[in-house]
Amino acid sequence: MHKKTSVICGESDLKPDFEAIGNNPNFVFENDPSYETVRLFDADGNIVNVNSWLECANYVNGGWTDYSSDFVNGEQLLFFALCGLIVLGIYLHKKYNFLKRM
Amino acid sequence: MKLNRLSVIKLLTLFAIVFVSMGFYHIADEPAIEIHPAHTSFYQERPCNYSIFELLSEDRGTYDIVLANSPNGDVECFGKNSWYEYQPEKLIENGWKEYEKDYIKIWLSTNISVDLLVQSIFWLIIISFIPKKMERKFDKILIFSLLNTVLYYLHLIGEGSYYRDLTREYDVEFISREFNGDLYFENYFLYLYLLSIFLISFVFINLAENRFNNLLNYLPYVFLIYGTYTSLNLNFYLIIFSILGLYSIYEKSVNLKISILYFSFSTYWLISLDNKSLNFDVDKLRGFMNSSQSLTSLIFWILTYYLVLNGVYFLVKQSLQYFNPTLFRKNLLISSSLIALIGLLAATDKLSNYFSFYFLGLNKYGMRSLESIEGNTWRGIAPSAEGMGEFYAFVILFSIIYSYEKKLNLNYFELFLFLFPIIGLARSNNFAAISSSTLLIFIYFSYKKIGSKKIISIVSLSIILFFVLMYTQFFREFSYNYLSSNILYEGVRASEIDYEMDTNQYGYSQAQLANYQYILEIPEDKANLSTSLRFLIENYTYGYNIKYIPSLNSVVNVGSYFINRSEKWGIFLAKYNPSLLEFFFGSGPQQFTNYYFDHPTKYNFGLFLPHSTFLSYLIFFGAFGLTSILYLLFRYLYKQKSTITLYFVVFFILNFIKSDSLLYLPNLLLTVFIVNFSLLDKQSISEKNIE
Repeated sequence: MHKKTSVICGESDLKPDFEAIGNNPNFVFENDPSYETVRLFDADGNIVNVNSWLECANYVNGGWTDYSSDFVNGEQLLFFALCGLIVLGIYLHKKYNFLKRM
Repeated sequence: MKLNRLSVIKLLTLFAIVFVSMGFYHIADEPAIEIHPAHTSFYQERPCNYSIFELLSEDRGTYDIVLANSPNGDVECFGKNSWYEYQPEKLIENGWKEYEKDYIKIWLSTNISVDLLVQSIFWLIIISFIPKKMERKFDKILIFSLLNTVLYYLHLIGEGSYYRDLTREYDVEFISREFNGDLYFENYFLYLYLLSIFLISFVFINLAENRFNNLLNYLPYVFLIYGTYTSLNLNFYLIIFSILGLYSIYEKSVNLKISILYFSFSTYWLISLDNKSLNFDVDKLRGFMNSSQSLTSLIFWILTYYLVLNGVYFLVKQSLQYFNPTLFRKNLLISSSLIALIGLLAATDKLSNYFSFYFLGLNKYGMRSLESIEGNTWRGIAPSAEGMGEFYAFVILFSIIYSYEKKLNLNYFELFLFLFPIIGLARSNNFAAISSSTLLIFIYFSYKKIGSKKIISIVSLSIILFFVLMYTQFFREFSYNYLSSNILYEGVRASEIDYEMDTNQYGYSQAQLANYQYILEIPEDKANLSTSLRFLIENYTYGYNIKYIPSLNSVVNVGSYFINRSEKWGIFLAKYNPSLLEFFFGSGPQQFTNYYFDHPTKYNFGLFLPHSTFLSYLIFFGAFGLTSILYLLFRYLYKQKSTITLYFVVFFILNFIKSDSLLYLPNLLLTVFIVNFSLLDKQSISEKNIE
């Protein structure tokens, strides 16, 4: 996802084609001396240091991150929990006029 | 209040929210160990593992523990430990060999999304305890809730710099694109925020339908439940009063002339805005101050300020006939007593301190000791001792004057509760609130007993003059010459003067010697004086002077010394650097960024408030705006002919001279209510006539 990439890897004007990169076994990421190395890890705890924006974006696209909390999307869980609460609220309201009785 | 089955369920839900949200059920994989400086690395290496209950169960009482929140936590870490630090004892820089005791500070994670939900649900349930009174139908609830949501979407966009610092989930785009062009619909941070605001608005209006006519009677509780979200720059009352404000427009219950004037000013504020991406540390003003200097945030605060004021006015006007002064007074007394009691509890117990901060929505932690700061103030759970002192004094003033006027006797329970605001006021040590309320009570009863306005005025003036003379003749420490320019002196001291000044034989610079003529002759780019300070120094040095009659400038300077405001107002002058237009029209409501960052001084760090509501409002609305507010206020009050309202308004005006209390939302809500109190008073007067 674009937003997450910009948060982890920084902004760039490049429009990478990850599919092409993934399909090319001989693809080599060129080091960018001006790019500050970013350390990424995956859900299994593997670690990689990336030295260019493109390499970073490629790993992030594959599910790697620099922040352990990214493996759990708390906002998504909370959002669906809230939706569940709303459904329950609508049911209670229909049955017992919940909001008016409160 | 009858405690029926529903009330019991609601109470249990409140308890469940408190304990479940704070992870009472949580058992860490690796048990917590003793809270001790030697275990710092243990806790630092295991963030997001222990709940507040697990941590406090390991407190052996050997070290002081301070709990604080860390607003940039993740959803799954909410309520758990975030950081741990041992703070060794520190020398207090007061010239004495005094040390601040060592302590262990533990930060607990809070999160924007969770706070918005948990705190709102908690406060909405509390609102549901307000007894129902005559249903009032609200039309188009869904549409107005949606409109309110759009308004708070502006807030999220406008104050991006504030939120971006707190969470990497911050994103205001509903839909974005992947690199391959696919649409991305998973901005749950935004969806959750908007859905929460929508639900708060929707549920509140539904709850208010049965309680609208009773809300005013329970207004005093806004001082107890402050309503500030822990991780957001938002306040619960902003959300609920802005939706009432939207209804006030819909039901054409707004003052058209004032609205036109306000939006004419707004046009200037928007045109003159210097759009910058910055993050102003709102600190204790969180929830009711713009943290940014963006166009969107300015639009948000212009609209919200307008809607909130209209919302309160709408509430007062629409529920006039249901206002119950006895109930209102009782709620004033209960609220102020609870504030004092919870303040004491929070000072002695760590868990109460943290819970009161979170669940009452405080802007600052309650004081952690019963000792006063440098021997003068004890603010309890309030962010400002001044603001709370004013509230305590108002409770006393209302309970005495209004009760006497309307012959509403206090019962034994109320008489007992009456002690708490007195203790609170004494502890807050707000001299202005104490003296102004005492003076007003004295004037009120003198008028009641003597009945002659002329005699009262002469006696009051004589007493004030007597005390002023006593004070100035026997207790003053400085000469008139110094006092007549001591704000200017402090202003120069606070200015960043980049010039090698001549010194006298003792090494004092011309600034220290208050040689203003010399300072004015320093090249402007070197002197770095703000426009306001330069103007006043020029006026003081070269202005027209009538012999033996002090100028207005000198009177204010002398006066500031006796109310302990010379330094604060001096810093204000050093920082306040408006252009002529900005001086006349201001920068807009709740806009401090320009004032804080525009002009370099020695005080461009931390939160140095102007320490006068009038000065704050001069920054917000300019000289024209401030004059218009005062003119409209007095004209309105003059027309209303409610003497009792006049006492209350005069009390607040006297206090606003030296306090910043209108920067806090509860104080603003109370003030708007008091200004409109004449409507309620008139209502009760006409009811009496009918009887």
